[in-house]
Amino acid sequence: MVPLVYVCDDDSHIVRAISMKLKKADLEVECFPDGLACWERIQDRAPNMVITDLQMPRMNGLELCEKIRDFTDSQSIPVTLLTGKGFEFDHDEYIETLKITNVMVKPFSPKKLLAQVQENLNFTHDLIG
Amino acid sequence: MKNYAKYWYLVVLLIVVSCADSLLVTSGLTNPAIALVIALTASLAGWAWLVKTIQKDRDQIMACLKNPELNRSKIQHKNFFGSLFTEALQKIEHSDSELLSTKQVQTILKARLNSLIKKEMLRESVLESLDTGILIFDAQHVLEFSNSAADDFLISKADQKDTHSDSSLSLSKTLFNDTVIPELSRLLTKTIQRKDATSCRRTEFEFTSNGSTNHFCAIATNLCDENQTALGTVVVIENNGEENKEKTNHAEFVSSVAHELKTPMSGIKAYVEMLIDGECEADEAMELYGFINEQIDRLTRLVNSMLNLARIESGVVDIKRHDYELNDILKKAFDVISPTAAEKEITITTQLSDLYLPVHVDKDMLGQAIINLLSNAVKYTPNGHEVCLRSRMEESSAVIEVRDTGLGIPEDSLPHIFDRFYRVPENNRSAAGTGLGLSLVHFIVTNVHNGSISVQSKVNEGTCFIINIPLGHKEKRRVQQLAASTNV
Repeated sequence: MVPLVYVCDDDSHIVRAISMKLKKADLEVECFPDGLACWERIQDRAPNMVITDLQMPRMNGLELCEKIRDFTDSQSIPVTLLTGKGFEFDHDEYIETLKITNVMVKPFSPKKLLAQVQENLNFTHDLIG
Repeated sequence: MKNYAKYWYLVVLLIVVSCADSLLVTSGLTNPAIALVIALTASLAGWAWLVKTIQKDRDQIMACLKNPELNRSKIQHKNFFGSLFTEALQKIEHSDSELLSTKQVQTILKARLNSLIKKEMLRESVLESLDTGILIFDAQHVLEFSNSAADDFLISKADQKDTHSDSSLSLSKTLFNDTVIPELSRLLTKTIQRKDATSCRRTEFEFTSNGSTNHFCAIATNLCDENQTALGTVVVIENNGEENKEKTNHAEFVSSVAHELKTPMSGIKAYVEMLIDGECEADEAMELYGFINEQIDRLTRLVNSMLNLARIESGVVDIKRHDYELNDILKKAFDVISPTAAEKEITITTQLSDLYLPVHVDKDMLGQAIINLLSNAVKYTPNGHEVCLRSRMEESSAVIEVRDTGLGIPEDSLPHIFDRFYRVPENNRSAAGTGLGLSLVHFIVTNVHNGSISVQSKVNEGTCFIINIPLGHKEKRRVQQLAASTNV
C-alpha cells in the first residue's frame, strides 16, 4: 500500500515543491492551504504522515498537531513541522508536548525532508509490523 | 571739674570750719556754745547744699532719661550719678547693639529658613509631578517621603502588621514589609544588607493596580554623606511597559521580516535543489524556472516595500508639504490604477467633490497612499465588480473614500489590517502582497499629514477606506503675512 502524506502550508510554492518531491518518491500526497482544511480531511481519512507549516490562517500548525494527537486514528502518526521561525521558537517544548517528530526550519532541503519522511514511514511501518 | 570734687570741697570746708571753731574756742575768743552753733550752722548749710545738689543731679538724670537728645557728656563729669549713669547707659547701649545683632541673625535665619522651605517645596513639587515613583527612606528605614506616583506601591496603614522583631535587620525588613509591596521590600532589604557590594540595585516586576497590569523597573540606591555616613535609601520606580512593548514589537517585526523573507526563499531553494538533482522533465523544469522567477519578484517587492516604509518612517525621505487641490492628486492616482482595473474588467469610477478642496500635503506621499488603496481595491475585487474613488468636504477636513464591492475583510481581521506584514488570511491567495501597503498608508495619513484613516467592510459585499485630511492651505496665508509685514 502506498503511504499517504498530507502536506499543509499556506504558501502554494512550498506545497507544490514538497508535493513534487514526495510524489517522485512514489508517495501519495494530498495538499491543504491551512490547518483546518487538513484537519477536516484527517477526520475522514487519516494519513500515514503529516507535514505542516507553523504559521497558517484559520488553524496553525500547533493547533493542528493538538487535534491530531487528540484524535484516535491519527494520534500516533509522525508529524513534521515546517517553520520560518528560528531561535524565538522553542522546538524542544513542542516536540515534547505535542510529540512532533521533526522540526525543519525554512528554507529547508526537500531532499532532507524526503529522507526524514521515508525514515518516519519505515519506522511507523516497523512498529505496526 | 570732677563730679565728686564739690563734695570734697564741702568736707574740706566743714573740716576748716571745725578747726576754726576749735581754734576760736581754744584761744578763748568765743565761748563753746557759739562755736557749737557756728559748727552746726555750717554743717546744716553744707548738708542742705549737698541734698539740693543731689536733688538737682537726680533731676538732671531724670531729664536725660526722659529726653535722650540732651547732652550727656556734661553729666558724666559734673553730676554725682554721672559716671554711674554713663556706665549704665553704655551697658544698655551695648545690650541694645547685642539685641540688634541677635535680631539681625534671627532675620537672616528666618530668610534662610524660608528659602530652604521654598527649595524643599520646589523639590517636592518636582518629585510630585514626576510619573516616576519616588520613595525616600531615612537611615532608620522609615519612609521619609513618597510622591503620588509611588502611592500604589505603598501598603495602607490598615494592612500593616503589628509583628516586629527585635533584631535591627529583621526590624528593617519588617518596616519595609509594612510600608511597601513585597517586591520593593525585598529590593530595599537586599540593597541595605549588601551595601558593601554595590550601592545600587535594580529589580523588575509586574504589578496590578486598578485592574491593569503593568511592568515596572525599580532602582534602589543607598545615600551617604561625604563621610560615608548612611543617610538613607531612595527607590525610583519606572513603568517600563512601553519600553518592553517596543522591544516586543521590534522582536515581532524582525520575526515577521524573517518569516516573510524565508517563505519565498524556501520555494526557491526547493525548486533549485530539484533542478540540480535533475529530477524534473524539461517541461517541468521550465515551470520551476517560472516559479523561481515569481519568488524572486516576490522577494524584490517585499524588500522594496520594506525599504520604502523604513525610509518614510525613519524620516530619510524628505516630506515636502505644499498647498494643493486634493482632487488633482486623486485624479493622478486614479489615472495610475485605471489601466490595471481595465485589464481586470473592473469598473473604476470617481465621484469627486465639485468644491475646491485645499490641502497642505506631500503630493507624492499622499498620492502613493491613494494608489496603494486603489491597488488593493482592484486586487481584492473580483472581475466585473466596481471600485469607486470619492472626495467631499466635511467640517474642517477633506474626506477621501476608496470603496469597492470586493471580497471584504472579516471582522476579526479589521483591527489588524494596518499592522505590518498582516494579510487577511482568507484573501491572501487572491493576490500577491507584502502586508506592508496598508501600514504605509496608515503612516502617511496619520503621521505625515495629521489625518485619520478608518475602514468599514463586510465579507463578500466590499470594503470602504475613509481618509480624513485637515483642510486648508498654509502657504498662501504665509505669503499674505509676509506681504502684510512688508507693507507695514
